[in-house]
Amino acid sequence: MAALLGNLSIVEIILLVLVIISFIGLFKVQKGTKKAMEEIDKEITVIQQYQGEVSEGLNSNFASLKKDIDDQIQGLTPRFNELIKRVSATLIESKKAVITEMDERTKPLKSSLNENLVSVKKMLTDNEKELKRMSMEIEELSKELEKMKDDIRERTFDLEL
Amino acid sequence: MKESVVATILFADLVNSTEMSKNLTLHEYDDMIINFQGTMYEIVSQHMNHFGYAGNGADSYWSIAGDEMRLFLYSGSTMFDVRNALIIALKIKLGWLASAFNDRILKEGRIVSRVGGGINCGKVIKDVREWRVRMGEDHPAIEGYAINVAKRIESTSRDGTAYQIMVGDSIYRKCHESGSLNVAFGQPRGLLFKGLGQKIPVYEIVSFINFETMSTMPESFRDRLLEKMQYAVTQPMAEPWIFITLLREYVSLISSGQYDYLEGHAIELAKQALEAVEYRPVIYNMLGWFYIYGKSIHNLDVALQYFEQSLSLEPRNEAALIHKARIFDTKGKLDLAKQTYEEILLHNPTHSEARKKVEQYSAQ
Repeated sequence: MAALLGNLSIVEIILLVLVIISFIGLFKVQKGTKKAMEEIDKEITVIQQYQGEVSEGLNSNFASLKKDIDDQIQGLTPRFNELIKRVSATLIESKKAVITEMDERTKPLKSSLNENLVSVKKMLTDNEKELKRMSMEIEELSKELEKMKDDIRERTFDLEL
Repeated sequence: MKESVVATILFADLVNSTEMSKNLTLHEYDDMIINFQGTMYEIVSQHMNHFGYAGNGADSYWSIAGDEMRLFLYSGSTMFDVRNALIIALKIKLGWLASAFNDRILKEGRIVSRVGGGINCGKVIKDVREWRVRMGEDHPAIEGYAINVAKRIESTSRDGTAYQIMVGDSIYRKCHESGSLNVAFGQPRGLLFKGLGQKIPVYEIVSFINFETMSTMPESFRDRLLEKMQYAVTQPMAEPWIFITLLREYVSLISSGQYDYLEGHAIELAKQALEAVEYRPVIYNMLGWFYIYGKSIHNLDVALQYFEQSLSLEPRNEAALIHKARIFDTKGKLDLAKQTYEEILLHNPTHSEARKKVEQYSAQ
């Protein structure tokens, strides 16, 4: 060994020392890491236990809350139904009253309208022939105007030839 | 009740009927007269009704005797009566040309029988004469010197070469004064009438342009009328009035936009008419018109040449001047257009288009 060391230069010896120190350091770090991992595992186990307890507590609280709400709704439902029934009844009554009143009020108007309708129909029938005659007259007038237009054009040609 | 009215008198009869009677048997001559009278009746009665004459002596009356038709118009508007007398005279000629009698002659290639006319206008007495009432004619009739003159004028129609419709000086003056009729007359002939003791100027109609002539012909005559006229102008010694009337009808047909195919034929006919018609300005004007409004032959330069030719024969021809001015205006030759419009105003100061255009050019 001493012979071996005697053949090495100072630099090589320093490098060898540094390598050895590095190995020692690595070993220490691995050891610390392993220890830390074990502690973390322990803490995880503790947390899991705590989470289980909390979850159990929450489930129990939710069930009791749901039960309370169900009880309260069950109590309100008949009252609500009763209210709807009353509102519907009131509405039906009001509608009937309104219809009756409308009928009462529009009765004279209806009869008047019927009378007018009859007279309008009669008037339309009476005037149908007159309208047809007027329509024919308008058609004739339109033809006459067209002819007048043509005559004016032709008269212009006459004077420009 | 006796009253003085201005009447327009038209006499029309068959030209050379006496000579014809020598060559026809009594029955043939009678057949011709029956045909003539039927034609006159149909044309005059339809025309009077169409133009709103009351007849029965109120504003007009007419009669047919032998080969003569006489018509008296006194509606109160002399120009209306003159216009109608001219149209009736031309319609009678047209009707007789298309009659069954002439149809036969045309087919045989002979010269058709013609109708001559005389028109005069003047003051007459409108009255219900006792002897007429006793004869069962209780409607008013007219009497007067103007009727005798009309009859004398009509007797000169056989010497005519264009329309064979002669007019007296009164008609000539009224047509010139009115400016609402496109009618041209030949040189006046101073004719001495037996019994009248003085020379009276007589004018022959050499051109009469009127769209109502053809359009108001009775329905029974309209059938194949155009065809008959087209055939008549192909015959030797075709009458000038047929060319002018036919060309005027072509103007109406072409302007309707449905007879473009007639344009070439119209040009050919007009060129043919230049040989047959003595009064040519109207033919040049129609040629110009065809070149302005014809779709397939539209050419303003050619149209302008024809209007120039019309003006070389008749420098004051308003129709030619107005087209010439419009062509210059369209071509952007505003100075020439203005000059032409001013020329129109020189002869006719009330011409509205010329006045407006001159004002417009002056303002520019």
